[in-house]
This record gives sequence, structure tokens and C-alpha cells, in this order.
Amino acid sequence: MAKKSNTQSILLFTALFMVFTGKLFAQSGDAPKDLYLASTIPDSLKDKANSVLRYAKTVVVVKGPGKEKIKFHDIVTILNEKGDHEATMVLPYNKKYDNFSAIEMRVYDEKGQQIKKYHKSDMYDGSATSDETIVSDERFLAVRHTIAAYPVTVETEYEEDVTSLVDLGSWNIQKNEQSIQNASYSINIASDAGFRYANKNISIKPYDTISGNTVTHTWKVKNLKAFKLEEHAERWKVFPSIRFACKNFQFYGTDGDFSTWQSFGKFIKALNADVCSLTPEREAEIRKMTDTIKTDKEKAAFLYHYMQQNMRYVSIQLGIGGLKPFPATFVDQKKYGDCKALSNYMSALLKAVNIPSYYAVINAEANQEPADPLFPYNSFNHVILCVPFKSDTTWLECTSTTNQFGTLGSFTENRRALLITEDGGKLVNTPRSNMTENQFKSDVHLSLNADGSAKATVKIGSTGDYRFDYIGMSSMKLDEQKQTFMEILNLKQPISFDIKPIADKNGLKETELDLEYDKFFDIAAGDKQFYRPHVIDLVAFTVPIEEKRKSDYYFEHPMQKSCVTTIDLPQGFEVETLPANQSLKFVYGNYDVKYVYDAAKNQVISTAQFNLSNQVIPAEKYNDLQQYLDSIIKAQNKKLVIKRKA
Amino acid sequence: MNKILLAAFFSAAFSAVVAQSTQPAIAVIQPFGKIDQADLDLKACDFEKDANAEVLFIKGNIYFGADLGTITEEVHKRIKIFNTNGNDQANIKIEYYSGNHLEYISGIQAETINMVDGKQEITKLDKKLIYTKNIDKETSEVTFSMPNVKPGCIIEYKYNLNANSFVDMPDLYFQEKIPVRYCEYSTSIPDIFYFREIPHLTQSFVKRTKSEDGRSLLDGGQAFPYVQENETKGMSNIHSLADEPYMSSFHDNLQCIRFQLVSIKPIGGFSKSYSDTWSKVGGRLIDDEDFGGQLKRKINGEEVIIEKAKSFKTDDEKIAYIFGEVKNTMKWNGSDRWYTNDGTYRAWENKTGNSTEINLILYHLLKQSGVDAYPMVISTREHGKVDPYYTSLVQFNRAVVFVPVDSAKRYILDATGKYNVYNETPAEALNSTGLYIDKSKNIYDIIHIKKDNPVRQAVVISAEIKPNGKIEGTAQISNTSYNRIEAVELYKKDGEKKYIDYLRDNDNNLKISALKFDNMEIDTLPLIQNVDFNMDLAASDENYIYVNPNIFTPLKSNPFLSDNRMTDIDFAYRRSYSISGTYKIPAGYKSDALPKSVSMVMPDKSFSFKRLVAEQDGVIVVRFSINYNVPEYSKEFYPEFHDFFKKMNEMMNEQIVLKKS
Repeated sequence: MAKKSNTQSILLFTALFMVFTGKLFAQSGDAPKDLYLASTIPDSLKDKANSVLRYAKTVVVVKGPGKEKIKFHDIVTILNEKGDHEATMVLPYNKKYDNFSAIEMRVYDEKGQQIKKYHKSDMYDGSATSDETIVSDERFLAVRHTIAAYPVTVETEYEEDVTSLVDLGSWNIQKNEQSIQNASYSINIASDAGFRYANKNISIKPYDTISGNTVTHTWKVKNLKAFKLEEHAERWKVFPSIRFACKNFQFYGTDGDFSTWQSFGKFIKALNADVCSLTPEREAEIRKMTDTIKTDKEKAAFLYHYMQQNMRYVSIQLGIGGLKPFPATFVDQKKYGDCKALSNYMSALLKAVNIPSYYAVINAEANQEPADPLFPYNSFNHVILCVPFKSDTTWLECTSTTNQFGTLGSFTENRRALLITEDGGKLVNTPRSNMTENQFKSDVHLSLNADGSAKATVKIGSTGDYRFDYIGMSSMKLDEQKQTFMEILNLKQPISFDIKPIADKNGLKETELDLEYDKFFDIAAGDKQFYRPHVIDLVAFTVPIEEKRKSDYYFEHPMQKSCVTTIDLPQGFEVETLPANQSLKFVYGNYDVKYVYDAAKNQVISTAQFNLSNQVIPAEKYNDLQQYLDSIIKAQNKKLVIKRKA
Repeated sequence: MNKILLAAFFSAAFSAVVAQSTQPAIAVIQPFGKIDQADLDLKACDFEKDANAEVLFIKGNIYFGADLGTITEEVHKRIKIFNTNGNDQANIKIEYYSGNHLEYISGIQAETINMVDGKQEITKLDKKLIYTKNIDKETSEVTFSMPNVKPGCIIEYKYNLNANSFVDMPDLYFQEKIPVRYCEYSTSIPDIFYFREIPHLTQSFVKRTKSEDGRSLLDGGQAFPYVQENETKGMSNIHSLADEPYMSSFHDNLQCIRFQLVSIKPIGGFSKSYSDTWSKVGGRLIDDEDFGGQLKRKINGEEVIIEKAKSFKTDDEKIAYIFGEVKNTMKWNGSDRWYTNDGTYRAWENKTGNSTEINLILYHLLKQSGVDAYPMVISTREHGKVDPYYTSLVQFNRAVVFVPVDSAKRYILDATGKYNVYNETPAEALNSTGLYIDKSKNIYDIIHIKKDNPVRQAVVISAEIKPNGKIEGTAQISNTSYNRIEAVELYKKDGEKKYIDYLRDNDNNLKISALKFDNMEIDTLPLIQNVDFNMDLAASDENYIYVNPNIFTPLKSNPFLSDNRMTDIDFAYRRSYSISGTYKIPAGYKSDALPKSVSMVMPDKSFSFKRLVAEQDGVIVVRFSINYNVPEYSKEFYPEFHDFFKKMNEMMNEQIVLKKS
């Protein structure tokens, strides 16, 4: 389930740079004519493809720091309606620093006859603000062609003049379910510009030509077969791309050096320099608020809670390309900010009481890409805060009103972040949570009556990401909460349902569900009643059968789940069949369920446990995972049969 | 528009005449900045305890400008935030139509009120933090984020929405996504304009007053007297509008009043009637270049199609042929308007167009081929139901073709959907009203569009239970009407593998070894799916085998879990399901528990469920017959409905138990 506060906080921190990704470029007129004919596509490129990139040529000329001109030209043949998005051109831009010209999109039928042509004047010009962002400078141009018959070929050309850059973007070579016949990308840049590049999921090398004091690096790919991103696979681990950067850049008029992580960190540091302090009066107030607190760590915890209680997260993408935070004094007065502003504010609070802390830029959302130590590049979309206490480093997620002090969760854990220190940027790993930190513990009491009616009390204790889920759920309307519980726990529909949030203390969120059933058994006949012997399903998911899994399967986090169910049998009944105990093993975990019948109390007690120690399942273990989960579901499905005592 | 009104205006107000007035019990609207302590202390919404925030009040004043050429809406809104989940309510967005400078926003004031040390603390919004954003050519948005927002605080803001047009009367919305404690609108409309109210309200007003002022409009020293009609309407305790399963469009459910300008009373030598009957609206359709003007337009190469169509003997064959030609040639661009954009000629050339372009081409070809067809405008279900008393084209968003075959049979043709068929009314058009026209016959008429017969799905299972806790057999699934269309669409769009996953309901225990379709390409016959399957009966153990006979049905789970219901239930059409299975008991086993034969009918016969179970000669037969006899059902009877669906779901999933003997 989504954690609202967290998913909100992914900012378009890199929105401007994203503009340059996915763009391929070229000079027009040099594409062979047969590329407009659908009939010339080799069969091997049609397999698994919704579209075929027939030709792509991108030519980038880097004129100087922060300045580049891009010529883009591509030809795509769309094979079916799942490739329709290829007939939509969306060009995000910024009015000041980014200009598109010579835009043309031409559409050809199967035989290569042109049937339609679009220009810039045909395009919709809109504000690129999402629902959750309240303000942004970003805009986009877009045009869509409606395809009447397949195959159809779409040719796109444009020129882009960019005057603000951090890195030089990337060539995202291949898209999902698209094959490539021919594509090239070239960058012309001064030979002393400190140009560098990094390959991801592909190992092609450039061809370089030198002319005067510039070098042109050209990459080419040919005949790449289409593939489909598998479920629960991570895009950054699968798709081929090449990233580019050089030494000096200019971003929104400010100069920077991106030769190292350290130098990029200095750039960010400088952006924040004039906004990272509170007024002296407020600093004095903050000191007064904390002067009775003994340790720095306790002070930090106090101030973190103070911020959580008083500030709220609002997405705002203004200022220097969404890179510079709103001043700490602004947050202090207005009581809101985005991830940058809130992290910067938290840092200012700590500074007021002489606790050093570091602004940390990172990629947010579960299992996202860590920063590459060998290739400084700005692919970040979020900011958190790092407080380097002597013996233990503490991390703070400043956009959340519910995170525990010092815990991050799957949103930002277990990856490299860039710390902005006095000496510039430094890459540091965020902590990784283990399964005991993501617990779902449930204690269920089910009391059955002879007529099949029943009462159940389900007590759930959740920590880590489970805690976020359960906190997130409490914002829903009551009826929605009930439905969600029925779905995620696979509850049988009760006649009465009460939800009691008990407490949220020390990172443990407790919830109680009180349920009543008019008929809990599955079926009754003669003296016997047949029961599903639990109220909730501890494991309520399986994964699909796949012939050959190619990429790793990702869960959001490791997990430890347990459920103890105590069933009071109706008076006058005894156990006829107890479900079998089972113990199942998987390379990264295990599932155990045990049933005990206490004849004296006339109670059946079942204890079930599910552990997953690692959230990344290697592709070659996928089949084991699938069979393991199927076996768990089967084990969970076994029935309890009771009968009237003779 | 202003030019037809006279410029000078003197507010020569005469004595007001109070017509009627009912006093509300409580003073629910307060001036800006005056906050009730009780509201700051408020912990939850009285009538919706689980709300994260509540609108305390909305006050809107709508009046005409000095020259009667503009309309201003003054809005004052106050919101209580109960907890952090309600914080988002403090991010304010006001969208308006900025194309041609039609509308603009002015006079924004906003503040947040908190309790600090037992005193009310007011934090004003910094005007510099009000942003105006061009969304696109036609719309803009004013956005601001309230300062100092904490659980328990109250935020309030006011602004004016100004329209440079006397027809642009704002819609009055009483309902929101959060509960509204009180909402009041006052309108002051010169009797020069006659606006008809189009109410969509399920609650009654707690306040309603009317009065009149005598005024006059002056021009060149000449006075033109008129009466200003003032009306105030207030409603309290309005529940939030949620998304519910099987709910019709948001538009159909939101409580609001819309206005239709019907006429302008002549003063100073201008006269314009906006008054409409449906036939006048139909006349406007005919006169409109982008509708009537398209009906007779030739399209390239039409002679070939028309000639071929004429070679068919029956109208049905002609219709089927032309429908297929248009459907297969044209791709809908996703746009729904009652008028054409590029026109039929260009659309046909481009092989793509909006729904009206596609269907007017269809109409034209049918007409030219001698079929008695009519162009008809409708409103799609998402767009909302047509109010038969609101005689305005704005209610419609799509043209289709109406063919009255005989007194019992009529076709409504829509060639926009690739999987639509000519002999089935498109589901998007159901339960609303269409306006069809024929100038030569002087026909301008409305009809109610509905589907009379229930849409059927039948499943026949013949299976053998194996002693190792498996089951193996065949299923024949027969789909008619919309079920058929949906199945064909799913299969053709997503391919066989995905379709099989859908049939399996992604259950890894269920495997389909063969799937064969009959009648996939014959629109007039049911789609038959022949399935060979086997399944692990997961619950089975060494003594018992458990079989759930709810296989291959669309009724596995109950969508109506909610205890409360805010909107009517809308199934769109009547439904009928029949599931019949025979299960052979393996040797060495005998039945230990069987579901009972039962039948259950709602008191008003709206829904019925029947299950027949029998055992004979080592074979168990289970038959379900389920009927939804109404397409729509009132939320008033939700408790009974909820109960019925809960019981039905339980009975659908009751299992057969076999025991080793």
C-alpha cells in the first residue's frame, strides 16, 4: 500500500534533466527510404514488439558549460495499438532555458506514403504540474496522432536549444516492448571539457572523430530485439542506456563543476548557503526549547518531532530549477515546504543547537538506483537529512509526519545518497532494514458457536513499512478501511466490523479488528462443521507462473510475519480433523504452521510464521519462489473439521 | 454581447419587496475573520465522523455587473482540518476559463486560524505566494498554499470569480469530496434574463428566501426599468461524495444547480430568445454547420460502398455491411463532442475523427443506401444522464445513428468502438435520453435508451474429481451481448495468454490446457468458449476433498462490502447468470457435505438467486441461477441489497465435501 506522505514527496527534483533523457537526435534527410516501409522490418524485430525503432539519430553539440544544441530525428513503425504512445510527441521545456524549434511529426502509411504532418503550431502547450505539485515552472508541448490502421510509421524531428544543464543527460536506448533496427547518438564537445560517459546494461563503445579542438563521440546500435519488463522487476536494472557528463556546467545561470561527487556537492552547498539559517531570535527560541534536554541525540529527536508536528509537506517546484530550497525562515513562518525546504529547515533547527547535519540527495521509492561512485551524475529526485552523531549516524525523512526519529523505510533505505558536507559531496550508504524491522504480528482470538456464528478479535502489531501501511490506512474513510482490510487480510465478510486503532508508540502501530459473523463455517452437514481455521491469511499473495524469468524479482522490503490464532470450539464439539502441520523452506526464508488441540480447553491453537530475509529474489530463484508461495497458499487452505461430541 | 445591453446603469433601487423567507435555526455563516470558538474546538464532523476535514461553510453571492454584461461570483469558504490527513485541503486550486479573457479571479484573501495559548491566532496568506498558472490556452488556475496549517486549525479564503459574459452563470455546487456543513448561494438576477434552474439535488434546502428590487438601466438619459430577483438557498450537512462500486458518473451524483439561459426580455430594442423546446434544439442541430451541415456531405469513394450496400436484400444486411466498413475504416480519436471538428469529409480522409464525425459518416452512408436512419445525439454514461427538462445541447457529447426497424426492434449504432456491434446498443448510451432528428420529415424527438433483455452469461461445467485432490474437466462459457463484446475485446487486445490468465482469475491452482472459441466473428450469435481445465483442490487432505463449484464465473467476490451507500447502484443493464456443473465422484469417495438447494429473492423481486444441488449415481449436480432484474437500484434499499449480496456471495462459494469411504 502506498504511503501517502512518502509518495507525495518525490519531487521533480530532476524534472529539468529528465527533459533530456529519452531524446535521440539527428540530421534529417539521411534515412534510407525503405525504413518508411513496414514490409522491410525483419521478423526477428517484430517478436514481442509493439513498435520498431527503424532509425534514430541524435546529434548533440555542447557549446559550453550549460549550453547545448540538440538535433533529433527518428522513425518508428507502430505495429499495434499498444504502441500508440509512439505517435504522441511530448516535449517538456522551461520557458527561460529551453527552446524547441523545427518541430515536425510526419505520419506514413504501411507503404511509406505520407498521410499527415504536424508542426509546433499544432501542439498543445500546457503546464507540467502534477496534481500534487502546487507550483512549478515546467511546461510541455504535446501532439498526438490518432492511428487508423496498422502498421503505421511516425517520423519525428526537432531541434532543441538548451541553456541550462547539470549533466549532459542520457541516451535511453531502448523502450519497453520496442525493438531497434538502427539507432545512433553523438555528442560533439570540446576535447578539454572533461567529457565522460557510463554504460548501463549495455557494453557498446563510441567511435570518436577529432576536428580542431572538439571531439565527436558516436554510439551506434543495430538489431536489438524487443523485450518486456517483467512484473516486479526494476527498470534501472534492465534497460540499456548511456549517461553523459562533463566538467563544468551552468544551471539557471549558476556555474558548477561536476567532475566529482565532491565538486557537485559544493555546488549544492553553495545554492543552500544563503537559505540554511533561521533568524537569530528564532535560533535563541529553539535553544530555549531544548535547553533542558541533555544529549544531542535527544535534542535532535525533540526537534524532529517539533518539525513533524508543525510543518507540512507541499510540493513546490520553483527556484533554481527545483534545486534550491525555500529558505529555512520561509518554512519557519509559513509552516510548509517541499523535501528540499523541509530537510534544509530541519538542518537549520539542528544548527541552532549546534548539532551538525548534512543535506542528502537521493533517489526515492522502494529499490531505486543507488548513486554510482564511479560516475557522478544527477539522477536524484529527493532530499533527506543525515545527522552524524559520533557513534551512530541518524537519518531523517523530513517530509513525513509519521516516520520514527532515525528510520527511513523502503522509500530511501539501502542505497547510496550524496551527502552535502563542508568539503562538498560524499557518497554514503543509507541503512538497510532487516526483516525484524518490518514486522507484521497478529494475535487472533476466534470464538465459535454451535450455530456457526462467531466472534473474532484480531490484534495486529506492525513495524517498519507495515507500520506505514497501517498508518496510511487510517486516513481512509471507515468503509474504505474495512474494505481494504477485507482485501489485504482476506477476511470473510463479517456482519459487524469495528476497527480500533490502539496505539502508535516506539515504532509499533497496533490495530484491533473486532468482527462478528453470522456463519463462520464453510459448510456444515450432519454433526460436522468444516472451517477455514483462521480469520486472516498471513500470506495473501502468489506470483504468476513464468516460463523463464529473466530479471530479479523485487519485494519492497524484507519481512517477518506471524499469526497466532486461538479458536474456541463450540460447546459440545470436538476436533475431527486437525489441519496438518507444515514447514516450508525457501532460500531467503521459511513458512511454518503448527496446529495444537487443547482438549481440556477445547481450543485449537495455530501458529504461523512467514519470513523473508531478502527482498531481492534473483531471477534463477524465481521458480522456487513461485512454487514456495503456491505451497504456502495450499497449506493455508487446509480445513479444520469439528464434530458434535457423541 | 455588451453592446446589446445599454451601457449606463443607475442603481436606482426601489423599495425591496420581501416575498418569502424561512429562517435557519443556526447562524452558520460568519464574516471573514470572525471564528466561532466552538468550531476551533470541534474534533470531528458531526454527520461524518471519519472525515479528515470538513467544509464549515461555503457562501456564494452571484450578481450582475453594472452594465449587465458581466457576472460576478463572490465566494467565501471556511474549512476545518481535523488531522494531518486533512492537510491537503489547505492547498487551494481555483481553476477558471481564461480563454478570450472570459473569466478572471480577483480579490483573494486567505487566512489560517489556530488556537495558541487559549487565543485565536490568525495568520494571513502572503499575497506574494499566490500563483497564477496558465494551464493551457483555455484554462488557468490560481493556486496557493495556506500558512501555518496544523490539525485543528481552520482555514478560510474568499475571492471573486468574474465572467465577462451574461450567459456564463456559474454552476452552484453544494457537494464536495469532503463533507459540507453548510452551503448557501445567493443569486441576484435581473428579470431581463430568464435562467432556468436545472437542479440535481437529493436533499432539501434548510433556507430559502426570495425578494425583488426595482432597478433601471439608463441610456442617454432614458431609463429602462427592470426587476432584480434575489434568491438565497442554503443546504446543510451534505455528505462527501465518494467513489463507490457500480456508481454512475460523478456528474449524475454531485448535488448542484446548473443554469440555462432561456430568454432575454426585450429592453431598449434588443430581443433574443434562448427559449427552447426539444424540437427547437433539434432545429439548431440541423442548422449547425458542424452537425446538420455534415449530414449530406459526400465522402471520397462513397459510391462504391453505397452501391455494394444496395446490392444486399435486407436492411439488416445493409446495416451490418456499412457498420463494418465504417467501424473498420475509422479510428476514434478519443474525443466526444456533439459536433464535428474537422468535418466528415476530412475525418474520412484522415481515417480518424471524433465520435460524431464517425457516426455522421455512418448515418450518411446508411441514408444514401436507402436505410431509414436518423442522426441522434446522446450523452455517454460518463458524461452524465440527460435531463429531459433541460433543453440544451450542452447535455450531449456524442452523435450516434438511430434506426427504428419496426415497433419491436430498433438499432442504436455507434461505430467508434472497434468491438461494438450493430445489433447491440452501445453500453455507454444506456439509461439516458437521445435526441434524433430528420428535417425532411420534421421529426425532432427524444427517446429513452435502454436495454430491455437481460444480458446473459452461462457456464456449463462437466468435471471429474480425482482421488488425489484434483479435478479435471471441461467448461463451456457462453456470453451474449455486452459480455460477448467485453470477452472479444479482452481476447483480441491482450492475446490468448492474458485471456487465459483472466479466465483462471490468476489462480495458480487452475490450469487451462485448451481454449477454443466458437462464433468469435459472428456478431449475432453468443460467443462460446470451450475450455479444458484441471485444478488442484488446495484444501483437500488425506480424508477429505473440497470442491468449490464457483469456477469460471464473474461472481467470485462481492463488490458491495461497504456498510453505507451514498449513491444509487447502477448496473447499466439487467443481468442473468446461469452456472451449471456436474461433478463425478471418484471411486472410494462419497459426498460428506453438500450445499443445500435454496432460493432467495429480494422482496421487490429486483434480484434473485437460486441454487439446486442433487446427487445421483456418483455424480453431483450444482446449478446456480442468478438474476439482476433491474438495471439500477436505489440506495434507499441498500441495507437489504447489501445483505442479499453478502448471502449470495457466501452461497456461491459454499463447497462440496467428499470423504474417503
